[in-house]
Amino acid sequence: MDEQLEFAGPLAGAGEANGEGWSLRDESRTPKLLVYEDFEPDGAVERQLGVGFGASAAGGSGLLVCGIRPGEWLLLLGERSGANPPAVGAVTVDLTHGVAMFRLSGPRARDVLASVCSIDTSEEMFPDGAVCGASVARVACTLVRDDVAGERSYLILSQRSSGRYLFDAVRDAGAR
Amino acid sequence: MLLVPCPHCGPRNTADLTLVGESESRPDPSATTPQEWRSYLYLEHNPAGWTRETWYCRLGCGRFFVTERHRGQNRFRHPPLGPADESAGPR
Amino acid sequence: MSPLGSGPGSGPGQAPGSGSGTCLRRNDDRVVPMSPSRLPARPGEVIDRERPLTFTWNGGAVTGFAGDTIASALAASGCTVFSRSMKYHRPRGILTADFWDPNTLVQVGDEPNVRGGHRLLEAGMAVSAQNAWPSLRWDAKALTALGGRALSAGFYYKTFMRPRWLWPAYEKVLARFAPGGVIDPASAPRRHDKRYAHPDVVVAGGGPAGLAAAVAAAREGAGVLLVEHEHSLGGHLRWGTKSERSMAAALAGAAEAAGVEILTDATVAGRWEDNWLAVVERDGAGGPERLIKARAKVLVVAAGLIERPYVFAGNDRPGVMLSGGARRLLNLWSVRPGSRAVVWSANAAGDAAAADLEAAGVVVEHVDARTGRTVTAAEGRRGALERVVLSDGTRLEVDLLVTAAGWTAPTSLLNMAGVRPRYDPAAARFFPAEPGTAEAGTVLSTGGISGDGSLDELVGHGEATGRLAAARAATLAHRLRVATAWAAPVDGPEPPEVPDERTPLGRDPHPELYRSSTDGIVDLSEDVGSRDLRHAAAEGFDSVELVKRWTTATMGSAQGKLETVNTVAVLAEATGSTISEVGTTTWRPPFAPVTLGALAGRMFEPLRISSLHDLHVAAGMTPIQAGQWIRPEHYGDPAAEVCNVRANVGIIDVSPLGKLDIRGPDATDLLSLLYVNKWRRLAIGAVRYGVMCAEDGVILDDGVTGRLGEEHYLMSTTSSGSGAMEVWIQNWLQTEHPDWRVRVTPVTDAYTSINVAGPRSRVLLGRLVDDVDLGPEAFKYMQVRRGTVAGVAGCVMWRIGFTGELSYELHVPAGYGPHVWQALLAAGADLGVAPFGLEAQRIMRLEKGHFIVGQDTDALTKAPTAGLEWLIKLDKEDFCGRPELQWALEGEPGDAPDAVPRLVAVQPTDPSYVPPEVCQIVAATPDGKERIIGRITSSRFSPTLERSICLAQVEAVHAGPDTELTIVDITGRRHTATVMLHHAHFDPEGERLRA
Repeated sequence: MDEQLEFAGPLAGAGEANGEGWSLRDESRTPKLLVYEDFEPDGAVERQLGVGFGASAAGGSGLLVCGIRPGEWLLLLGERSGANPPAVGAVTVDLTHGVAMFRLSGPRARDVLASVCSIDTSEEMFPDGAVCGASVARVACTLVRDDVAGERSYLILSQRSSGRYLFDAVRDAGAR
Repeated sequence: MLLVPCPHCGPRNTADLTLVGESESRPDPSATTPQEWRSYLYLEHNPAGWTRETWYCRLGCGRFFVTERHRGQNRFRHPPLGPADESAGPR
Repeated sequence: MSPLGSGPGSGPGQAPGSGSGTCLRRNDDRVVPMSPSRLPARPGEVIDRERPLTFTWNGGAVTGFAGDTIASALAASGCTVFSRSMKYHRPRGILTADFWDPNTLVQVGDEPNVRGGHRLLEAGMAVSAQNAWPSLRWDAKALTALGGRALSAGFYYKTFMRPRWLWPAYEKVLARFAPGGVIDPASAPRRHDKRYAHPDVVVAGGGPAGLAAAVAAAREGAGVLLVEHEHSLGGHLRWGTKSERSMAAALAGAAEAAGVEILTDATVAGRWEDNWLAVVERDGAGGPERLIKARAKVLVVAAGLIERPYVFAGNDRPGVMLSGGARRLLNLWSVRPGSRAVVWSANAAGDAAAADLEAAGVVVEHVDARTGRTVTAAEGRRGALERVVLSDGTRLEVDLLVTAAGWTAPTSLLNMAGVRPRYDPAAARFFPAEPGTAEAGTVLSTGGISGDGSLDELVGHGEATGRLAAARAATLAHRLRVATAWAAPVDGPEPPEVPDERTPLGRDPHPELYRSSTDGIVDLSEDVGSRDLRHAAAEGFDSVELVKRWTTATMGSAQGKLETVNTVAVLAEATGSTISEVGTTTWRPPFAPVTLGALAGRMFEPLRISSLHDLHVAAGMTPIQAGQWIRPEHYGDPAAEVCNVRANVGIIDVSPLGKLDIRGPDATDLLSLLYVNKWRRLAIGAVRYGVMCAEDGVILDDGVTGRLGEEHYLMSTTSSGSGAMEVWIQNWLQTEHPDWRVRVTPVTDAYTSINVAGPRSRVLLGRLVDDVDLGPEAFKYMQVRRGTVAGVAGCVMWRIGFTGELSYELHVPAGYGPHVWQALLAAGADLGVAPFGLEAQRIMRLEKGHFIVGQDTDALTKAPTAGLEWLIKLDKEDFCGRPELQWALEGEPGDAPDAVPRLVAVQPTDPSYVPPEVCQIVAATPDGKERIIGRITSSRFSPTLERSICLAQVEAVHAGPDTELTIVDITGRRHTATVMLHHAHFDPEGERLRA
């Protein structure tokens, strides 16, 4: 990302909303790389990245590797600089600009999500590190459970153009 | 709402997927006849029994997969929350 | 009109003269003698006498207590008539005093059809009667009772059918007679929230068995959601003896302690495959209903039993009450329902009602139905009960008749799981045919719905059911976790399947009591009598499903809970068959009526915006929604925007354009498969136009694709087609060519796409681009370059021309889109640069004759129709739609090539006339008539040519240049028009865009 230029996120105003027991924050600036399995799949990419479909793993320096689809990983490079993506996979596509990313945190985050998403987010069915595709307020999203310092936290990723609608919908769900 | 047994995600709400249709192999386009080709395009067998179907896991893993569903009873051969039905034969 | 006249202090808006318990009404309703029926405080009552609540009934003030329902408060004040019946407008009083009471639907403020027997009282409620005009006491529509046969079975279908031209008049008459309350269009909108839940076990019903099941399941470690229809837990124990009430309290306490999630005043409204449940939470205070979509692993149905009315002459008269209704009024709200009563009882509940009434000081004549004595008539005048006639001729002067004729098992939820109800004549009710076997044992039943027993037996069966439910849920939870990619790993083996080893509940014998020797009302909601049902049977409607639809029996607000079995019994009697042979109607969702708002929930309508949205708003765009996208239609004057592009330079936000990043050694194979034209020899740095067809040869999408590298392409699709094309391509790759080494990534939103169009676009772009030679020879038409625009690296530029002008399409990393857009406007101020919107682009593309897929083509438009024969290359390998296109080009036996539509450019003779899009084109036939030969697909007034221009689809025989066509507009007027030589109305040689 070019630090000289002003990066326009998906939102117009404040990139943050708070309610009782939850907060929602825009983290769309996070560099994001899509990595595909090798053309002749031998599991090497999965071994190197450490996780398969449905799971995520922190790779140090703020890197979070998410297995978003079978043979596809989304690498979230964190807002802190220094995280370098591992050079793996058949194809790598930079999706930093194309994907909106919001962080929903707090003890009530699960309740907020339950009003806009049909996924079972119980501890057994969606533990910390879990990754799945789901509809959130009717937008196709990737959902990642990424607790921060023991506090329940979800990353919600969607195509950028739906981001503002999605942020508003989740915020409104929390405001009920 | 039926749970669809996505082989990658696990059981998912039908609304998360798209039923593509009965799984049929595409006739060789260089050797096909209009009758065969149009039967492939437009005709569904739609038995009140077991049929092989292609589903697209639209909101989940994004994969197309083939599974078997009993269209009379609206259940999958390997129900996501029940034991496999070993007694049922192919259609 | 009123024999007593209107006395002082009784007008609307005046303070009640005698305080609590007095019911003042407006107009002639006030003549009803008010006899306050509230008893002194009694043990077990649910009202709080320290909290009186004043509300209005038909405009007059009434006072009840917190804990009252609307109906109990009105009954306490002496009110006996609550509504008029639907068809005959007969006066109606309390029947069941609960949710299912068909006679106490009222209007509360702007909310119609409130269940007065269920809704809790609130201070200040404005309650009024429905379906009565001008008043409850004097109802003009009661006259219909005189001509009652006109409203007999099937009256909807018979009476108002002919002549058809009178239907508008019938409609007005019927609307006035329609039951129900009044909707206030000015009501504030309510938000009905939804949520999702994934409980292990859902228990429908919070009576003793349901509570016991919930507690037992929760103690086994299951997450349990208990849903109770009423406002508090306990079921029939709530209006029972002291020991029954304390049992209810103990069970409710245990449920709370066990961590059961308890919803009262809520209903499991429906059950679908794999225990997908609709749970509707009402709000006792009349707030908006909320829907919970619950995926339960096991559903326990413990819906209890609903008391059944008895059918006899006058059975709908106020003062005739079910035993449960009398006991609830007495024991929950301390309302004495009458002073002299006949209790006609066939079971213990009826006997208990007799005892309760006697204890409350009511003079009771206890008639035992088990001895064969029945009630044949309830008589009286002016909406009051005066006399009960028994089958032995006995006449008893009373003001209350309590019947206890038997039970209906509300098996709806079980039936929705595929369990058929089966009639047991010995017990005189239906039972689930295969209790506990539905859906591999994931739907269980317990309590009265399953059988009878002592309280201990019911609780014991409930506990066993709860344990079974928890065990089965544990097995399913294990399977679910094993199968779900993201679930936490499971330790240990799958819990073994647990057999159903519950001791079944017994069945108490009960006499079959449905209809007396007289006729009465069977469906009190819909005003359908036993005579109507017999009449329907005589007319040949001998199946219960037909009778239901013909008479509307069981289709009212009680949804069959009270009347289904009586309907079946009367029909069985009329057709000489048994209840088992007749069977029941199909129980469908919802279990209880649900507001439409709860089903609709909060509307989620996703919208998409580009990164430039806020700049468009600031520039004064007029927005248009295209699919989910909000786009600028124009910024004030689309014609001026066209002229500016043709004369100077304009910029348009085309970000919704679908974009796919395609990489891998087999990328070219993929393009060759998808497009009808050839891609093998596309040079790096070149772009090519392509058309994709479906397997039936119909045009699916079009766009340009540029080759960025040896194994790297950027494909564009139409804006509206981008989502579908992603799926289309994935389908081909995954199901037909999984071995191909190519990866396709949607990058539509990764780029902000800006088209810079107009003769000065090269000059403008040159001011912002340093690292790409924009010279006409270095960067030719239909080429692609990657470079830096206004300091933003990684931009893709392709030189194409949808508008027909020299133009560059810039694909800029979306986060920097606003920067580049503003830089273009700033750098081109002296060149006259201005933004243009979708409308200007549509005009310009029509001037150039470019078709839009889905606008100028439809679901039958094969590629040759759009004039694309030149593009289709049959001399290459397999591609989508190839066989159909080959047959279309080469012809098939039986083809009528003249009739195949062709897309042509058309100009109306009158240059100022713009035919509406989709208006028809006709041609004369030999017999002097006209035939439709095509339609206008696009039309605009061209500011460039100062005339109207069109694209049209017409039959090939009429598609030749200079053919004169006749356009018919919607008013029937004819306009002539001429077919043009080229699709392009403007610059057909394309000199401007190649400049």
